[in-house]
Amino acid sequence: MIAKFLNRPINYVRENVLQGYTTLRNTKKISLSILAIFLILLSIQACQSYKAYYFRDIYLDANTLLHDSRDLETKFFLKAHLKNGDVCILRDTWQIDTLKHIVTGSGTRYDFNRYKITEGLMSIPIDSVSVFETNKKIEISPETGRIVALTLMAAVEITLGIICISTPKACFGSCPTFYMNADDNYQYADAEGFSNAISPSMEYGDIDALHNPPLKDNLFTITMKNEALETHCVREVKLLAYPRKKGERIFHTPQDEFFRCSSTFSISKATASEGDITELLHTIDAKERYSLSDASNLSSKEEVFLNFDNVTIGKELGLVLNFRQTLMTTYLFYSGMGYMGDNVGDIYAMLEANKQTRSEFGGTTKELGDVEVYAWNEQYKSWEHQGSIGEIGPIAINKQILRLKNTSQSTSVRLKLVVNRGLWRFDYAALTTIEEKIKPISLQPVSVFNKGKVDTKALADLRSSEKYLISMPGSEYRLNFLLPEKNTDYELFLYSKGYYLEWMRKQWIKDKNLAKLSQMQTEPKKYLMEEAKEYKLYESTMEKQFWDSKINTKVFTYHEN
Amino acid sequence: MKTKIFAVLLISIMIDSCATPTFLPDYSDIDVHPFGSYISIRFINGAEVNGELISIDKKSLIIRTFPDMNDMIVTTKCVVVLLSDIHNFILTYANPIYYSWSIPAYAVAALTNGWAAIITLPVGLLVTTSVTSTGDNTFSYYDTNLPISQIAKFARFPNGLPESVTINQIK
Repeated sequence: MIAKFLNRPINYVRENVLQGYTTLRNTKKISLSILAIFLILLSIQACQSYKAYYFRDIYLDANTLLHDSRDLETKFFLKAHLKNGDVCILRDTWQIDTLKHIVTGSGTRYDFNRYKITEGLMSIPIDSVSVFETNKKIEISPETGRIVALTLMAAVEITLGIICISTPKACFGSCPTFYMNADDNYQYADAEGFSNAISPSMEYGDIDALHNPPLKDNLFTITMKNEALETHCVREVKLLAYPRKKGERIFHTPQDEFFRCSSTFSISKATASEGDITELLHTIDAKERYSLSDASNLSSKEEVFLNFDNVTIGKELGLVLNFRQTLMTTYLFYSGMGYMGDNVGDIYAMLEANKQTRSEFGGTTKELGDVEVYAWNEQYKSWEHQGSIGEIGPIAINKQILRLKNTSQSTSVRLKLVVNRGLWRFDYAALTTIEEKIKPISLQPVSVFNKGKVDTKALADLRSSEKYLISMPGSEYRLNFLLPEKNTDYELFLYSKGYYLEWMRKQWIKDKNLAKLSQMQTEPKKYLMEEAKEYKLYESTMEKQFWDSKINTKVFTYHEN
Repeated sequence: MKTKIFAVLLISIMIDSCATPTFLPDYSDIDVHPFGSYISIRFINGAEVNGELISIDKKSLIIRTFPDMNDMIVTTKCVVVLLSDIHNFILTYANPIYYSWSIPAYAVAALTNGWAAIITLPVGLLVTTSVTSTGDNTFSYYDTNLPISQIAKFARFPNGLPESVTINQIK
């Protein structure tokens, strides 16, 4: 054997040795591959042998069931275990009628020994039910597409959820936001529509100055977005325009009157409790002056002093103020929603039906008040009330004017703003001379684009005062307006009319407290004192969380869009 | 000897995986199943009882036993079990998914692999055995992962035995 082996040419021997080595290496490779496959199989197996925990829920009251099942894409079958031991298994079309206090649906009824009694349509008095049971379908076969979609959705939900769970009252709420440049940072929205219209009966028209740069073209575009978990019902969006010459500005008052103004007098000195704030109010730069709330009373007031020098004597003056709110009112609104808990539907129905209830609803907002403006009267050595200015909403900066009562008697004008601490943010203050009252022209949109495509229905809805454009979270509409003249510069204002419905968050329901809700309306002063400490906990961090929880219209799309 | 033990173990897994209560629904029908879940209880003294979970309260639970249950307790169809006497339990709410077929099927397939069967056969048996045994437990809870206070939702009467029904009336 050895001799035979030795007799073979050296190359042949080398080939055999190499072949043996290769075979050994291949065997090792195969073994490793099989081991890897085995490990993968075991891992897959470990993943598949899951326990379908928490697929079953038990409800002792119909209200909780109603609220839990409302969010579901697919309604589960419902088992109503009756007090006499019978069970009714209703198919996924069941309904709870809270007025008649019954559950209706199609299904099967079994007695306590589970003999079938009846089958078909049935109506079960809620009082006869001992407990409700729901079962999620257990999916064994993975549906990759859906799982990927759900995972992505879950990631969004979890991200939002973490933010909203940690500070549920700081979640982004906005009403429609409008942008002259669709890609603008959302902290610099140009307008925020009807912030106070939280139900159909509270619908109103809202005017916002756009503070637009000089116009060269007669086609003006503005983008309307829904960046919150809200349903926006937009009845109208119009552009109000008035031609302006160089050095002229058109301002509007809180009463929605429009004035053509000429000279502007910058602020000479501004002071508040923290000291000199002139730099913050001198220019329009989004560097705002704001204060933190009083830890012992949310409705405590503070004063801001504004001095203007070198003012022209004998002219009618107006105080130009660029301002917006902090998140205090958002916090209070969401607190109110939370106090409603699972009664939110009933309370909204009451708001709709009862004018008195509606008028009492904004108790805390009224208590917080607007920006009260006073002017120093040198003759009487006292402060004279000039009026108030204010608008609800923490997003877009409002640009309004307040007419001062007296014409300027000297070159120096001293004003005082009395405001609620921690409620207002001021970007700019100036005086201007009022020339005349004017009436701007009103323009309807000429075309509407929905996510880049022409949307004739949306256009028709916006142009008809009878219809609403329903805008869901993630919606983005580009509205085009045609101005009368091509080479004319216009001062533009946006008029938006409608209402919005805030989406109830699961995290809020646990805060249900009808006594607190009632206190908000009937004893707002007391409520604001008691709530001060709680708000303080949120105040320092909610600003960031509020903006972070905004819905990005680029990635969040509601299915109807 | 080792081969015999392994074979016995495999056969017992295959047989055991077929021994499930017939009244349980498939996993896709748990929402329309009007009965309670199947519970197997082992007492502190070593005895066992199996059957449908009827109801549970703070001190005891009621089980509708099946004919082959332990003789120690059976005198009527339903029995009351004191919670303090329970050592452990397994609760099954849907028919397990049977993968026992995969053990012989894969073993036969592995034999066609030639010399590679030396590796693929044991690996295949390990995987299919694991699949079969975990498949059996897919729809089961043990006392270690479901506290006894939480099993009411798996009873025929989740909110307790109805006042108008007596234990003797239950079939």
